[in-house]
Amino acid sequence: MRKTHASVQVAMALLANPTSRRWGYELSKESGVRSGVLYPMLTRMLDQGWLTDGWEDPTSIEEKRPPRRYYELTDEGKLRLGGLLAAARDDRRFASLNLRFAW
Amino acid sequence: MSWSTLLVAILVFSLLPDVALRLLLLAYPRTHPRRRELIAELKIVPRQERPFWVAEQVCMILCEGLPTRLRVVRATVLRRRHRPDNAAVISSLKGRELELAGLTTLGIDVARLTETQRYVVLSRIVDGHTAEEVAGALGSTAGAVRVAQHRRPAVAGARRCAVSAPPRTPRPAAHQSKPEHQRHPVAQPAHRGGVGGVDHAAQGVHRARRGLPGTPAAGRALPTAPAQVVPHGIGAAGSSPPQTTAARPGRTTPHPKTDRHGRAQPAGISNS
Repeated sequence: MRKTHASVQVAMALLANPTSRRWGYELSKESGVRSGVLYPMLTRMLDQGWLTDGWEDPTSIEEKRPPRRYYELTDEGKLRLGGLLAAARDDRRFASLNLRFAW
Repeated sequence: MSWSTLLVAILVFSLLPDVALRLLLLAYPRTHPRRRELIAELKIVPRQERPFWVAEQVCMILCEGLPTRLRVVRATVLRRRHRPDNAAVISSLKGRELELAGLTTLGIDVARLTETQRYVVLSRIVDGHTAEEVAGALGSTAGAVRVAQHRRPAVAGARRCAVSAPPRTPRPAAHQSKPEHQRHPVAQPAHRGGVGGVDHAAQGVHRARRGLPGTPAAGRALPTAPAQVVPHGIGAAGSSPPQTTAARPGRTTPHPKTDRHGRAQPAGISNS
């Protein structure tokens, strides 16, 4: 995956809580990446095996809405995205994001 | 486009983002998960943000949805172009007249089959290929192959046929000890766990080609050695004992069956 601002921001958002299920809209808000960029990126990560996806259990939904799709990091995804962030840390292009590398 | 149309479009987009999103998502193929995903996500988005959120999706739909749709359409067109009723299939049937003629001994009316059905029946029954393999060769789907195989008039004979498998060393004791319905699993209806006649025939040919016990010969034995093939139907005249029917234990005499047209139907035909 190419090292871009969007991919680094999504990697940071995913690795902020690597074991929990993540939803598209929440990821978009956390990472600050527009959903038009985020969803194709999530699809690429799914194709590469960095993420797994699934659908919410309809019985667990209290509101009246359809089940949402969630994403979970795989072990390979944690490694790859960690490597992406490590590489971005040394890159001057992402210097503005340095403050958010606290994880 | 007139101003009134544009105004209506803006109003619909801003007041009914759900409708607008559903219309936009039509660009995706019907089974694409993005359709469900975005509609579900929209319900989470705060109401005042929804028009803007939907506007963001337009870019993604243009970049992701339309190319995906185009790929699907192109694949469908290619599949239709390579439908079996074309020159490739017809040419593949050349030189196999003897095998096609051999199929008539199974009760399959080859003359009434389309080129598609001939190819499918030959590939599945004689060559022993799976539906997936035949579908790959035809650029079709396994389901379409099964439909072509079982569609009338192929179904009349294809369901009836079976490959008898005389064992190399007769085992009468073991044979007798089995219950009646286990002796010829081909005669069992599919809903009782049995296998369809054609699939069993294909398995029999597979076994024959591999030289496995239970089949008399290897290779394309079916058309060239029709004596090994025992039809289950009325026309199963021959010296070999009828391999038909008798699928249900406890039934001593075959019960005459009629199909929905009232014609007599031989017992043992799987209606699956």
